Amino acid sequence: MAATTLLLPLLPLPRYEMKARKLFALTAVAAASALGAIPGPCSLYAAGPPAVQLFVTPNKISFHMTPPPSTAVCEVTIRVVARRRTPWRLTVLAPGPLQSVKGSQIPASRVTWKASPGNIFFDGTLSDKHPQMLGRGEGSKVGVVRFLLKNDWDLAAGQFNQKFIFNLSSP
Amino acid sequence: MKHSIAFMATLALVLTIIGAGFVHAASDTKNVTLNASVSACATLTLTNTTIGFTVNSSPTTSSTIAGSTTTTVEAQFRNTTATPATLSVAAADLVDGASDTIPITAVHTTAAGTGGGSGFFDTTSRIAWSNSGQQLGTGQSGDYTTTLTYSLDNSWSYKVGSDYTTTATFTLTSL
Repeated sequence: MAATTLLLPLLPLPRYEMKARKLFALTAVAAASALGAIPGPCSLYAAGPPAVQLFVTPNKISFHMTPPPSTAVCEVTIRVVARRRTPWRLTVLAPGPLQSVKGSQIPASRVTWKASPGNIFFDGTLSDKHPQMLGRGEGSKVGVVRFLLKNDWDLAAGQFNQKFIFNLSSP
Repeated sequence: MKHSIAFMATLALVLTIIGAGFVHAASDTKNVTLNASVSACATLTLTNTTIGFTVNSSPTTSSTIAGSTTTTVEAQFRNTTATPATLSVAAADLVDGASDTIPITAVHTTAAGTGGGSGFFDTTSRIAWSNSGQQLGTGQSGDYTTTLTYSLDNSWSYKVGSDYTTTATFTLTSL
């Protein structure tokens, strides 16, 4: 669209047509700049793939509980794809406690995690109220997060489910 | 005409700035589904399972006879329903070789504590045992430990030189 605008012929035109073309050109430039389709002072990185991307595998995890007292463990691999030196932060949140169909609950705070490498990804405790910081860095990184659930006698029996929401953001 | 161009230029600038905002604040979100399977189970552990009573005084002197030892009881269980688990004890009457008996209701236990957590063992009273089963505790999933002390009601009817015995069964029921 921008190219079309720049190739408008510079020939003498009637006044009303000049006006229409100027209007069209300005609108085109504004729209294109806003969408980041052409280089401009404030949209140098607009074109191409997103500035940051998050991949978490697997997307389904299970705690295999052995008789208490014990600790069940499951693991996910985190991959952050970002342009070189693009800063990012990663958080994780559970929208509620682990819930069984019979109404029993396991508090989200009962789930902790250990993450590596430690200089980028942090250990923590899950919350269903506030997103918890899981990592911070620049550029593309890969890490492993081991979630831990302490299995003790006070847990009710049942099948518990919940989802973890991983959010990657770049300022 | 000038106003129109100025307006369009302003519009272009505003849209450019908005566009720039979209570009620089990037984010991505992924969900992971979590499952945890917690199975029901129950474990009952008793220590010191042989208790003796030595009756060497009159009921006037000692209305109750203390047991020779105490028992540590640990009840570990996980319910699948909201129904509380129960611990009960049942025993036949004590009997000697000549078929003389001491009613089991003469035997009592007292729990030293509720067992921790939300509480399980009944500490409110000295509990008399029964043939059909007497409840010693009730509560929700957990790991509870207490110490039971024993006592036997003294009676003039006990035969001198007799050795009365019985076997008690402790049952932990978790639904």
